[in-house]
Amino acid sequence: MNDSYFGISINDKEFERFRDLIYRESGIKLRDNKKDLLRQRLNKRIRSLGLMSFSEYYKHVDEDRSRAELTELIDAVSTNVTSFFREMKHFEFLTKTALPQTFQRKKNGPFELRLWSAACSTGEEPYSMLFTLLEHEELTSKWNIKLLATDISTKVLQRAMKGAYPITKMDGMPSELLRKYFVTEGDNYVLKDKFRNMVNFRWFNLINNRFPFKHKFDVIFCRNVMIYFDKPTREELVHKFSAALAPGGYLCIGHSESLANTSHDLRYIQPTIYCKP
Amino acid sequence: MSVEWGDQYSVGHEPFDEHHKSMVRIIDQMTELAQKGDDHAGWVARIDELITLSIKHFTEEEAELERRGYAELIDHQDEHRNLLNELLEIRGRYSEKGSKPSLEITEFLANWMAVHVGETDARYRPLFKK
Repeated sequence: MNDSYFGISINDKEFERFRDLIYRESGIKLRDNKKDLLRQRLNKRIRSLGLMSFSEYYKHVDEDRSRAELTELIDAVSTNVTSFFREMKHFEFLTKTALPQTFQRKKNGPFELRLWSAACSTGEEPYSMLFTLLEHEELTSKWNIKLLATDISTKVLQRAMKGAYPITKMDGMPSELLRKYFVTEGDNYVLKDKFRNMVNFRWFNLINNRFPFKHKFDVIFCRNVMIYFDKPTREELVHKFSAALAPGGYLCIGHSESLANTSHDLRYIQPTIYCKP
Repeated sequence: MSVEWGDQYSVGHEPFDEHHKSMVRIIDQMTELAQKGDDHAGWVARIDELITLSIKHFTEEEAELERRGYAELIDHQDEHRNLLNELLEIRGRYSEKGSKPSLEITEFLANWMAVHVGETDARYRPLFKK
């Protein structure tokens, strides 16, 4: 059975060109094991455009001034598995350390908590941050919560904004949280509007040279993103995060990521957690 | 920091559980070395052992998951490959005698095991339910 049985095939040279393009535009470095994924995910797209090959599709992306097709392409390769309260330690750290420290630091105001989920995917991460804050009302009730959630993929952002999650995938969620924050609609648990509106979703490309934020963040989550970046991109990103953090603010990265071999000015707290001095 | 082995870390497939336990054991030995100071040769030998075992384990686990049609295989592989890259980079730093064993490294590895086995591997556990 050859490749064409599965539709339009992609050769090594074509894959190389897409890999370069995606790296240039998003910082994502595709490994060889993504070749098949790229082929599978783009086949339908290529056919629906009436094109015959990956080379033709490359030309189409390249010539599209609106960059809409580029967004489609990045969407196809950047989706990621996630779940509520992934890496539970970070949420414990939030309530045990980051919040009390922030309250102390801002005891004379402004009474705002600024948090950023920098690669929010389908929303599980920012909503888990939100639940964590709300579940500690005794700590957070007097504070204005500003929770920003961004991603480079418009598709996952749309899903995040809908806040609908298949019931079958919510096994691990405590039932009192489900009752409090969700309503059931068909096969999904859907975030109640009130809570969904507490998260600001925005499209954002982390390799942008400038971060456009007026205010500094108290906490930034950027988990399982840097694994797709090479070292220079990673280093640059950490510098930008550092600049975007308030002194005393925290950066949480994914468990597969370590800054041990990256030059940065953050203070190591514990694995995957760093503080801006 | 060490990983206390418990049932919550069982993936429901004995050979893989054994691999995981051996990996944790090596990381514990590394932690001891880092606490003691500067047995450079012993430290490097443990890293090499961990690299060899990781490659064996990841290869076997990925093959088994592929055989069982696991839907999240690609993301799973990414975590594996990333750890391997980290390990190789760490190994590179110790190819000369200058650097001392570091607790930041062993904490990173112990945390990686706890999250990867306790959360990422846990997602494939249903495949092995009898």
